[in-house]
Amino acid sequence: MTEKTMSFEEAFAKLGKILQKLEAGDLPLSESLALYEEGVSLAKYCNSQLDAAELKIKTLSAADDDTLFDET
Amino acid sequence: MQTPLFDFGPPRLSVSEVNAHIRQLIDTDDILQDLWLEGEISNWRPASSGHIYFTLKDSAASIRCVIWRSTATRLRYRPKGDGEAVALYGRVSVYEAGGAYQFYVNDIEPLGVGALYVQFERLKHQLAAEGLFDDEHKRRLPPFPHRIGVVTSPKAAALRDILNVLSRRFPLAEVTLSPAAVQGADAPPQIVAALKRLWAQSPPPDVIIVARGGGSIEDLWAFNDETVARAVYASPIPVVTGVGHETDFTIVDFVADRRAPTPSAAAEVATPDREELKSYVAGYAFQMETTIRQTIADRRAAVRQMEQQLARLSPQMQIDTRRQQIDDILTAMYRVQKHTISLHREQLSGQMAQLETLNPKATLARGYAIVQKGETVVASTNDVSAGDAISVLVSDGAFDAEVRQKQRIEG
Repeated sequence: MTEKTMSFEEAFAKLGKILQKLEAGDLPLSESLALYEEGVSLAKYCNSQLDAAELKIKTLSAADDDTLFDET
Repeated sequence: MQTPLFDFGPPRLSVSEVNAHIRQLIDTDDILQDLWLEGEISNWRPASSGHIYFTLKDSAASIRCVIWRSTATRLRYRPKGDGEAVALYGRVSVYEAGGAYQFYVNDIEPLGVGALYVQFERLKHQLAAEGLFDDEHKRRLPPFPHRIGVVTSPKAAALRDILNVLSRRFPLAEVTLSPAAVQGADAPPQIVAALKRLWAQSPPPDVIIVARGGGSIEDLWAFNDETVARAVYASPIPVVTGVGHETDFTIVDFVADRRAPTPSAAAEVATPDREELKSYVAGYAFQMETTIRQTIADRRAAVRQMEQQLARLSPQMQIDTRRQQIDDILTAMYRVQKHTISLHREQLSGQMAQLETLNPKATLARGYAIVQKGETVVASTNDVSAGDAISVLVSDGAFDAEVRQKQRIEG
């Protein structure tokens, strides 16, 4: 899954995992740097998700019920 | 019917005639055709036809009642059953064929809030005993509910409040409004249907908010309804209730996975706060940066250490080390030499002192003389004869002499 289609929750969780790995510290330096870059990119993504979000609202109608109750 | 010959004595009538007469009397009585009837419900029996039969009684008497199906569906208030004190609006009528009179109900009002509280307590105890309020059954709310279902009236302020809070706190969410009446006899079945609609969504919501604004106990009554409570209990999706004001507790509040005091509070409880999330993200970013800086600094220090070790092993370093070693050895050797020389010097002056004591000059100073005949030192009388020329060395010089005569000393 590319970062662009990731949900906020997934990006946020991944960011936390990267931080854990970096703090554990037994990585080769090139990997640490790569992880750090990925972490920075994820943090930016999380913030953009939070800033740009607008509440979406949809309404269900009672007309949908007929098919519902037929199934029971 | 026999016509009497004379018109005296009580009339002779058939059953039908009597019943019809009674009916007519009642149908034309102003009071009986338009009244409110107060009493307590007993023998409440909803029939499969949709009509509801029951008895209304007070302490001394009772009367049979019926609610026709068409009226039952549009009742403002629907009693739960026996024991309920109600006021019934309607009229008395007579069922001619059976010779009975009944009260036909057109409207019902609950009598007194006390009756409601009794019902509330009864249902609360019953459901508690069944375990519907148990903590073990309550689920944790999802931390990031991307889909939120809301059951409430579409026209009410409660919905507006909820949407405001959600928009501020967690605008990433998609809200699905499943509308339902939140008051009146229609409300309980509508609320249950609204819940079912949300359960059937694909994908389903992550959390459901059931809410309505403040009101009297009668206004909130739908949320004390048993079918609504059982539906909330059966919900496959966690339910947060926000009904009434802070101090209002309805049965659904006890059954729900989480109760909030108001609709706005329910929206808050159901969602994380965007600002809080942003500060978490900032915190993560800060910690990551600190960690990576530390990692880099550590690596640099390790490299420096390596450099230092390397320098210690370089050819130049080895030459310098060897030079230093040679210097040290030379210094040591010089020190030893000095020491040895001074030792020898000491020895030498010691020996010279010793030698000095054997110096013949000291002996000469004491008055002794050294006699020489030519180069030879004369030590005995045998070394000379009379007439020899000898030299005599004394302490401060020498003189020549001639031997005149010699004499030997025995002893």
